[in-house]
Amino acid sequence: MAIVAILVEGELDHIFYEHYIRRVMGGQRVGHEVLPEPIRELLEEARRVRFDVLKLEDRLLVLVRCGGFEAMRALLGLLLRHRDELVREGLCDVILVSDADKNVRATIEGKVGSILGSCGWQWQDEHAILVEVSGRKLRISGITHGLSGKGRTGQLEDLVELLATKLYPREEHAIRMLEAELGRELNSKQKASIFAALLSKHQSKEELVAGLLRSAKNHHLEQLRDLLRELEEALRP
Amino acid sequence: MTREIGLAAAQKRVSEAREAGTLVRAVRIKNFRGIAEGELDGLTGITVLVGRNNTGKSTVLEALYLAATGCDYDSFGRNPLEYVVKRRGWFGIHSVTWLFFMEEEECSITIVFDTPSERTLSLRRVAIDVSLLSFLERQGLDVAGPIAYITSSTEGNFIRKYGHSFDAKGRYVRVGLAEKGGEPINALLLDWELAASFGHPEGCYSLMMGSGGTAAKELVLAVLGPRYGIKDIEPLMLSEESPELGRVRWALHVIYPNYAIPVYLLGDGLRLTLTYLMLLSTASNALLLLEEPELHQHPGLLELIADAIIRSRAQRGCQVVVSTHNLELIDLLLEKASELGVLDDITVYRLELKEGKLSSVRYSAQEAKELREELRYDLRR
Repeated sequence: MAIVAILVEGELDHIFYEHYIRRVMGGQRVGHEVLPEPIRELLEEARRVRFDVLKLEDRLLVLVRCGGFEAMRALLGLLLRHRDELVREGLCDVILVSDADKNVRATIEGKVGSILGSCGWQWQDEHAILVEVSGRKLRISGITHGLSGKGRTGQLEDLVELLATKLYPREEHAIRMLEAELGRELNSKQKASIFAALLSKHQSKEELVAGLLRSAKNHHLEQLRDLLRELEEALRP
Repeated sequence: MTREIGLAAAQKRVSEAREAGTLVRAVRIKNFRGIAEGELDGLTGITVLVGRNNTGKSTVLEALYLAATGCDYDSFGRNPLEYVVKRRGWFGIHSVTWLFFMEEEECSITIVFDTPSERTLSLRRVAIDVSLLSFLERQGLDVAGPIAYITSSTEGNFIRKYGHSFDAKGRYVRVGLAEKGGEPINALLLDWELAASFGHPEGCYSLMMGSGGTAAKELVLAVLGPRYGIKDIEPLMLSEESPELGRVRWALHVIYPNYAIPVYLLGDGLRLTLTYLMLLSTASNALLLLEEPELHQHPGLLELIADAIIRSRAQRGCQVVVSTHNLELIDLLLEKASELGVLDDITVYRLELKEGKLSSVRYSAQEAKELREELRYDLRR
């Protein structure tokens, strides 16, 4: 079975995409044991990394929480160092998901270049590099989430705040009142924190995200889907 | 300020050592021990070998040791082939046949230098020439029983040919078979069994001073001194009571600013570490092969070993290849090399051995450091 590794930075991203893939894309969570041993062991030996495995149609998605952008870069290097073994076991795609303020394309190019030199890889399109591994192809792509514009941070919180605003208009109104009282506009990260403080049991953004994606209606999810088109395109075989 | 000067001086010594020393850049192994075929390329000043048990780490060290010395004597006066055959225990003449992969009769080890040049050691199991038997008997071998006979032939930038005979009890005789040529490499394979076999540190001290001189002692003191406040190590006469035993007794002492104590009174760990450091420091401009230096070590003492490895490279111009199962040692080596600005002189190889085929994943020190720091990745996997 084809295996896709989706590398995300932190816990919030992990929870968001895990819920998103299940709720929106129809993925199913499965146990680690379905992964071929070399892939599973490699990830388990990176002690700071956490990962979940989801089945989506005929593919296994390994959603990996790296613990920061630098760690994501390091993990990409590790996967590339072990590419022969991993590709042999079915890994065909590595997708790096980062905030819009990071240059993920340059990161991928830098890492691939430092490990493979100038041969054996090429840009497939503006997002993805194809690496030649013993006659097979490993695709490495980078996508970003977050929005641009006033009050946006270019981070996942833009989407969280957008969804929370649709689902909880009373709290959203209260935040607008707070902004008026303060005489300044809050950014999406601040607003997401307030939503979390008001709506989640332990005032955590992770809990908020899980709750939002669980209770979102189909038309909310469709809107979210439009904003995350890049991910679905990257996941297309 | 003093630290900065020391650091600058150390960095200068490292760059000088790198310019002066000839490095082994690659090793190719065929049919030696458990390795049917394998190659490690891109070795640097300090090469760290990691991997699970039975992945060929010790075999790579032994291969380097044999090929570098061409089965000639090492600086401890050991015969490398005899040492390699017996170091895992003597099990009759099977111990000799186990040098070869799966009953093969020939194996070869090639090492490639950065000069560039290379040398190849070939070992062959051959039937013994009956005319040799009487000579071997005179040398003390039991020729009535089975005799394992192998020839070693080193070619390339170093030429040596020997015949090696072992009887069933492990008695060994070596015979020179041809003209010699080329410059030997001072190679030393060091493990804890060797350190422990010295028993008395006094003998080890004599060896250190005899083959390494004051530079070797300086290395030991530079490693031990700052941590334990040791000013010197010296053989001193024991107190007045000892002559009652019938002869003057000398013992190696560690000298602190205001007092001295005999080494035999030190704790086991520190005493064994001191012995190990003295042996390690004897190597100068040598290929230093260290097998699992972390054994028996408290993490504090392990730091001394890591320091000594870096200094062996930096101050003594040695190329060091070290096998280890210990992540703390790897972290310490990376940390100390980073402090000295010589991170690019370290490489980590994770070895794998499947059906006799040796493969490896090579990490530059920068990568290894990144993986350890960012992911806490277990490089030994």
